[in-house]
Amino acid sequence: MADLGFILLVLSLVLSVYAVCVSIAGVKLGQHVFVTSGRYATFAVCGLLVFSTLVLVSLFVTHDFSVAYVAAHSNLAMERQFIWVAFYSGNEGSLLFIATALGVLSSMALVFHFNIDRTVLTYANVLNMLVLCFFVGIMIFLANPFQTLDFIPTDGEGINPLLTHYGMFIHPPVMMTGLICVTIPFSFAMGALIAGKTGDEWIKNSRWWGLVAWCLLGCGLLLGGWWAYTILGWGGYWAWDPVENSGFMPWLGLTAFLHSIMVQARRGMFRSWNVVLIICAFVLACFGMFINRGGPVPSVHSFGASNLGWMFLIFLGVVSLASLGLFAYRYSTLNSSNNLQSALSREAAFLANNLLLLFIAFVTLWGVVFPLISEIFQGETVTVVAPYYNKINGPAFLVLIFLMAIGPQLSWRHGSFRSLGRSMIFPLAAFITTFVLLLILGVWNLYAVVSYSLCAMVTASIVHEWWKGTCVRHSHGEFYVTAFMRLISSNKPRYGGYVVHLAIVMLALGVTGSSFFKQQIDVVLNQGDTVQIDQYSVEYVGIRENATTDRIAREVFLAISDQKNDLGMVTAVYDYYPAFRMASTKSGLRSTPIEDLYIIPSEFFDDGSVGFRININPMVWWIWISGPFLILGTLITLWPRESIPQVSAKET
Amino acid sequence: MFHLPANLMFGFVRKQPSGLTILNVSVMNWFAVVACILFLVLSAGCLEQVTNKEVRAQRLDKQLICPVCPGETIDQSNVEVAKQMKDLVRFQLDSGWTDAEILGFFVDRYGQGILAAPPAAGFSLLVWLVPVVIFPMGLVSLILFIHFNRRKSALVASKTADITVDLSKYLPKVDKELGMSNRRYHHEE
Repeated sequence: MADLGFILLVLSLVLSVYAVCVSIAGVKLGQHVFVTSGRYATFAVCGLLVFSTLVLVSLFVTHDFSVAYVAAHSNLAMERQFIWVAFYSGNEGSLLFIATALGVLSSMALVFHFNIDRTVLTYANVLNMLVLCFFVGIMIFLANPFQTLDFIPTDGEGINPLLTHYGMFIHPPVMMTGLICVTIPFSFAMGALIAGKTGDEWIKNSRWWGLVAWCLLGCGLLLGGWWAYTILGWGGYWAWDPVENSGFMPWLGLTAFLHSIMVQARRGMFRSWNVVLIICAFVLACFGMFINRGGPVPSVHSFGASNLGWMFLIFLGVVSLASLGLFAYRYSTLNSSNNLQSALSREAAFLANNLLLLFIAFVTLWGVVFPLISEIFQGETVTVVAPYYNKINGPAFLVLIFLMAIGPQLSWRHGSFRSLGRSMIFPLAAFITTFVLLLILGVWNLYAVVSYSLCAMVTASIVHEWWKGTCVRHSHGEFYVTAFMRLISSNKPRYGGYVVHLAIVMLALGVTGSSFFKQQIDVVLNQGDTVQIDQYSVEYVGIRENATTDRIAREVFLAISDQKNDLGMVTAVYDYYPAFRMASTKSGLRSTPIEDLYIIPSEFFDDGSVGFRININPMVWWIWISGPFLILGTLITLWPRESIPQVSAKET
Repeated sequence: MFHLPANLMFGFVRKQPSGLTILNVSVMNWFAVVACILFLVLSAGCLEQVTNKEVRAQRLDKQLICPVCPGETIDQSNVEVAKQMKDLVRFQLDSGWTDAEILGFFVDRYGQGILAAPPAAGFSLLVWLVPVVIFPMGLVSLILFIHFNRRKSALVASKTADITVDLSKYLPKVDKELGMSNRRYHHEE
């Protein structure tokens, strides 16, 4: 069975190399048959990889511990459903997952595209296959997931207990798929450059696939935050850990790219800049994978760690040099067909947005690599985590939110202060009202007040825009709801974008609330003891202990009430895994849009008392709710445009 | 700012700007933008002073890295060393140490790596300095780009006629739709 998996991998490598050669030959010799053959080879590679994934999963299901990877990442005691998690919980399995995802995505890219030039499509596919060759090659030569052991152990080592969480069914796959999905928009761009078709055709495809990757990465990051929040037991969701950062940077790069290509689509500008941006996004995604695979920086995400870092570093270097070389070669054909006419225009606002996003990405990158630089030049270890990023990126995010309010109100080509002023009256009023209101309410933290006011400003500008459009349609006799729906569907990229902006506002609300108004106490409670935090009182009611083969599970029951009402019970779970000498904590949580009451049992004493950490995390709820809006917005944006009804000659 | 005659101050509104105003305009525009940014950054800097001891202790916890768990602060970590360090921080606060003294104490013991963010001194100054230098550089290149692009577009525009079709008769209709019927048009030329 394990041999079958390996053979499938070898076959897929052979076929992907075949696809590369035959596609290039087809284009060069003008043989349509060859190109078609390359296309079918791609589909076959996709099938082989999916098959090989299934083989590995079935090895897990049958507990075949003769396979080293299965023995290292599962055992007999684990719950069945976590076998899927175990499959990608280590280095080799996650490589297989990434390769399979890329296989599926590149097949999809061959099918779902916008009538692109055949040569460009073929070259794009060649690039996808080359990246795929790299991953499959690594598996075959350096990290074979189907490696067998000389002996058959009676039981496996088991899965890392921190991963036995439902978030783990989605977070790692979404994150890995998102990272590798950046390949597709990148290869459409590079394919266009190689083919010399440097018009505006490629951005349609790159935009579509870029949005897919962007949404996947965004959701992956949010799910990761949710996992950290509910199971890691420190009361936070984002620690600016190097691996988190490495998923965040390509997301920022893609965000910049997705904004900037609108200018190219609309005005034929920034053609070369957009190529640079998509190269940046892909290189950052490669950098992310490098950090993830035994990168040189310490991180809490050591699950996929390996000694393959150098391979990924070489890959990173080759990709950057090759794509920049190609860009330089085609640079002369990437002229803008228009010039920027005013600093007060949508185009300029997009440039400012790009500047800020790239700045944030750069700061994040700099923070990740600085410890290495310090180590090399000074021999001194330094750590760069949250306080650094908060200080430097925090203000940049605020300016970004400000731009989010003002940018969409600016007109293309050149705006005027008068029309901008007119459309900003309502948002500015929202800003000032929130600002004053918060100060009156006694919120004196100016950072937070500014952030909330900016959030109000963005929301107001979006709602105002929607309201204006709906009213116009209403005046033509449409019912308000219909008018609103038709408004949205009349310009999906634009209004979908607004939904995404709203999601970002929600995210900002949550981040601001939980960063500035978090309350925290550490207490030791005996059974029946009550502790007061803010308006809540928390009573430690009891504990249930349950030892199974692989863990000691402790369920802690707590009764919560505020001054007036009894708010019911929450349960916090503390599972200790002796084999790993590791505990996973599921926090007791009472979540409302205003604040979360978050209780983690941290320590159990012999006399029966329990140490608790109790947090009040304001507005964290909004962070999780932003996820569905992010997806909704992306879906609206991606939704194909209805075919425009033919205007008959008489009417014109 | 809106009271000033827009055509005088921001020449691009309708007429083709002359060479000199372009420069003035861009400076004025960017002055406004920079002022906005400065306002945001400065207002962000004014944080409230903290006197509460536990809040101070938690703030320190977040600035100290747990020596045995990579990348986690002692606030996040649950291991024994982190707990001891937390207790030590609270003891030192009770004994009247300042935040700087406490952080210094740990740096002496464990080296700079114990701090969650490197100090802005010595070689580590670079980590702070580079972003602070990069951002203005990016901003300046953005402004220069916009400036030169506008000059180019003005040159192009002077050679070609701007609008070939007279769209002005549609403008009142658009305004009516948007509920801005009180707007007046200045038909120049």
